[in-house]
Amino acid sequence: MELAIAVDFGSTFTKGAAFDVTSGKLLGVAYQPSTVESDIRIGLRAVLDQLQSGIRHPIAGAPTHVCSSAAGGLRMVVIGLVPSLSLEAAQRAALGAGAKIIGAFGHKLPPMVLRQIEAANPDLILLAGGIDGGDEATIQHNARMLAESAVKAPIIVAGNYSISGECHQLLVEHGKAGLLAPNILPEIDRIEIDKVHATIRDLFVRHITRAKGIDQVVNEVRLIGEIIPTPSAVLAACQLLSDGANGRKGWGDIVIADIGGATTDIHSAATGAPTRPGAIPRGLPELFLKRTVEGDLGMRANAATIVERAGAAHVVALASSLANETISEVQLRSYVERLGTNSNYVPSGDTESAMDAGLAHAAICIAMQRHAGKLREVFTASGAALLQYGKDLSNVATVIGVGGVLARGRHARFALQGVVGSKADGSLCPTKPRFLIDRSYILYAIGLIAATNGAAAFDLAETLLTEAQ
Amino acid sequence: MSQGERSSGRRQPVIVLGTIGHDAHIVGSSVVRFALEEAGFKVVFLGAVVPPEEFIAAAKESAADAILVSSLYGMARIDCADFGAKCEEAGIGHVRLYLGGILVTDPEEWPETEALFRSYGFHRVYPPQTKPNVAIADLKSDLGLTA
Ligand code: B12
Repeated sequence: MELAIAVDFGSTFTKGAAFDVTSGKLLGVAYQPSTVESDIRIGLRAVLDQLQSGIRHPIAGAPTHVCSSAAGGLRMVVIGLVPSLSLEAAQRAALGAGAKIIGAFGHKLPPMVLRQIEAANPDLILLAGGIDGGDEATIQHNARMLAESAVKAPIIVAGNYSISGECHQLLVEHGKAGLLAPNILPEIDRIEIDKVHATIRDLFVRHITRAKGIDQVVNEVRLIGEIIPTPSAVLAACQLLSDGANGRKGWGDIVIADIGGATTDIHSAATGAPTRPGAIPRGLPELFLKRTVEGDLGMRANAATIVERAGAAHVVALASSLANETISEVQLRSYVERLGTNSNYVPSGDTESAMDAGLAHAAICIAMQRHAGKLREVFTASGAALLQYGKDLSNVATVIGVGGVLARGRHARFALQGVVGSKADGSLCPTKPRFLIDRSYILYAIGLIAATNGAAAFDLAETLLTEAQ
Repeated sequence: MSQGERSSGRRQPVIVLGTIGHDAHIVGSSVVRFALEEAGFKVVFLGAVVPPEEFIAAAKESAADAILVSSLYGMARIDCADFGAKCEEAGIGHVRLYLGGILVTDPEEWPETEALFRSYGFHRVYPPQTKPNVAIADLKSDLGLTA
């Protein structure tokens, strides 16, 4: 018996899970209301007490792994030059580091945007622009604008290496917390984000968790490793399940769809290389681990935008196919309105369950289409040619669903099947995956203990992620 | 290596190069690429089947001094229409534009062809079989690089 504990500080709940890493068994889970606004230790102690009440072995002093998305998570502004190049690279770097992007701006920033950034008060800013030996003027202008602004957040400079040093120096001279990192887009077709990830992680630990009082955990538990953003823990789980561990064969290409009240996140672990013969990849090269966040699609606060994006008729048809009745557009709209004002609403009865599943299916479908690549057919003198933009995920073997509507809802399998979507627009979504559900909200914990107990984490996933019904 | 060394304090001139449109002929632009690199240019090579917007995006990000467009398959008239105007609009109107490859197969049509592509905003338009060193000499004089 060897205990390990995982804790996630969320914005509404503090969650905990206890494992025996020798046998790879889950010993218990706990949920308590978040106390991040007052004192995180209160919620943490309640979680530990709840865990202890179900375990005979004393858990005090057990190695504890911690992630956090509390107090808004890691709120980042990213700045680049060309939207499809350095700005896109900056967005991918931020999302891959577990951040929530609250602003993304390209080209030379006007004063108005600086006022917007000041008002948004991000936790962190990533400033990019120019390939190595390329454009210097834009990042220089933007560094000056930031230097002369009232922005308080640390600023990572990761653009054209010829000028990044000067930009960094300028920021520091103006009293900003500047950090220099290697260019995220050193060449037009090469993204380099490992160093930027390390810098972001370091800042998260040193500044952000402290500013939000989360660093208090070190006085409460035996903290193993660093406190990481919750999405990074999910990405770590994604990588582990794809790769396998200690002689356990990985699951290959994976997609994780995480649908919450306000956002829908898609993660993929896959090279995304073309599966269609002759398809020519275009655009920025893709990373093996990719995360996208749709801030306009969510089951509660953003239920209305799901209807707007997918079309009311479509959602009504999806919901009606599940209920033994024809649901009307009026019914759907009044339900969605109620959801928008009550983020903790739990559906009751067949009709509401069906509408919830219809909304989830539609949201997951749109989020998956935005995450996956697209094929575009072009006609040349010698016949048709295929251009592939983004990742080809059509051969993904496993899709894992996370979120209340999937863990607790009645039609989880139907909702998660949104990832298959429609092939009409040439999008390269999964086609015939198996569908698993994270019923015990354990994925973050699997990711957290992956680094130190890979085999146990993998075994836990094999038993706890179960076939969608 | 990606990081062009700065000789005599001056930035290495940057050239964006690729085969435009749905054109898959990549041998010619690859030959041009190596000739340019040999001559000391930093080349942002986009390969074949490159939409016009990608040339422009790459030129912006790299602060290119010139864009060299290659077209072999006979559709340059469509792919290159208003290329100069697009650059102007994107704020890179100062970038020199060169076009070569096999723009037309009948030599008799050359004067008219050249005039057409000049009207599209290309500063220099090369007939078939033009050797890369011709364009390199032009580049050096156009960019004021002659020693
Ligand atoms: C090989 C080849 C192919 C290969 C290409 C393989 C590949 N991925 O590269 C394949 C079989 C795929 C192919 C397909 C087609 N091809 Co083809 N192809 C050729 C061929 C035989 C040789 C091209 C080559 O590689 N030459 C060697 C290189 C080194 O020379 P280059 O490309 O001319 O480049 C030199 C100069 O032109 C110059 N240069 C090139 N670009 C630039 C740019 C600048 C700025 C400058 C300064 C100089 C410069 O420098 C280079 C080095 O010296 C030519 C015929 C020929 N002999 O030229 C036809 C030819 C180009 N193809 C032709 C055609 C029509 C096609 C097709 C449309 C249909 C077909 N008949 O098959 C398709 C189009 C497919 C597509 N989507 O692009 C025609 C084009 C006619 C026209 N322009 O009006 C040609 C001329 C054959 C012909 N006489 O009919 N083709």
